Amino acid sequence: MTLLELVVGLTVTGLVLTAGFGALGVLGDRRQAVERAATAEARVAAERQALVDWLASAQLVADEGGLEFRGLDGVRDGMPDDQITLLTTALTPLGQGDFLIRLYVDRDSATPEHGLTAAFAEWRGTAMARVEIDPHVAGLDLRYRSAPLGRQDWFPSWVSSTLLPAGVEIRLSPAPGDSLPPLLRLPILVPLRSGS
Amino acid sequence: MRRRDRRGFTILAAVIALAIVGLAGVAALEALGGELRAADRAGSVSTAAALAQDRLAALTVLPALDLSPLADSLARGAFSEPFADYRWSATVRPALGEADLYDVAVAVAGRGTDYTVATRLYRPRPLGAPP
Repeated sequence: MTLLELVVGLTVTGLVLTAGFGALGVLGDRRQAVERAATAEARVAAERQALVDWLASAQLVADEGGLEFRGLDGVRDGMPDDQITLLTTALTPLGQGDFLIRLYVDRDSATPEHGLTAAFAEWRGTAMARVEIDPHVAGLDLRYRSAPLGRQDWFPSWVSSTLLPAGVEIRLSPAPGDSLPPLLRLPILVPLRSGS
Repeated sequence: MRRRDRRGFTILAAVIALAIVGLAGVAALEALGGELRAADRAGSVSTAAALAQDRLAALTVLPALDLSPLADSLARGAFSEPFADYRWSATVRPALGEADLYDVAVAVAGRGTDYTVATRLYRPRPLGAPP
């Protein structure tokens, strides 16, 4: 091998290695971005599914003085500030059974939870838990679909101990200047299994 | 007898070595690229599944009279931003020959992903409604 061949060989090797490391670097950056995006999408999809499961399994109690399905309409500082309280039989962080769930936006700086929060309480029990679902949610807008007069329509609130709505639509909004993941900006429509 | 010179590498040996390193590099890059495509596709499937569930929910809350026949606006369409890459189509068919039982399916396609979700709904028609 002559010196010229050696120089050419080393140059080609150097170019190939540089290109290879460059490609690896780009792929590594892209891989991190894709993994972050996939993780975020999976987390948001799980949040949506949890909300669907909890609300879809809403139940009413026939006992005297039974629990109401309570969907309240509210506005605070120009943001929708609805909240909903219901009895669910879905799996919750407290386990499987009958649990009261309250879904609301926590704006209290004294609590560890912020944004969209679910508070659970065991019905006929003492266990309680609160779960921060998404801290970037600043507005919760709920509406209820039903046909009490024969024609389906949307209602801004729903309080009843005898009749569940056919469905609940959840709209989440971020604080001004903030943003939500795309899947949380998409309204979540939940058909209630026991609704009418 | 003439002895063959064995000092150093020949240019052929260097080319072969470079080819082997190059092949290994290409294989490694292809593997990484495949992993990236799989992760990207997994994200698209999660999104398509959520979109399909949402469309199915929209059909589930419909009364029987709106379910069959299904209006064009409910049978197909495109999602709005940021999901404008995804399109959906829905079908509602009587199930098992029963008048009040429907097979409902929603298909969502976009970003190289197809996702279909289906269910069966019981929607009794109001008394006096046409069959």
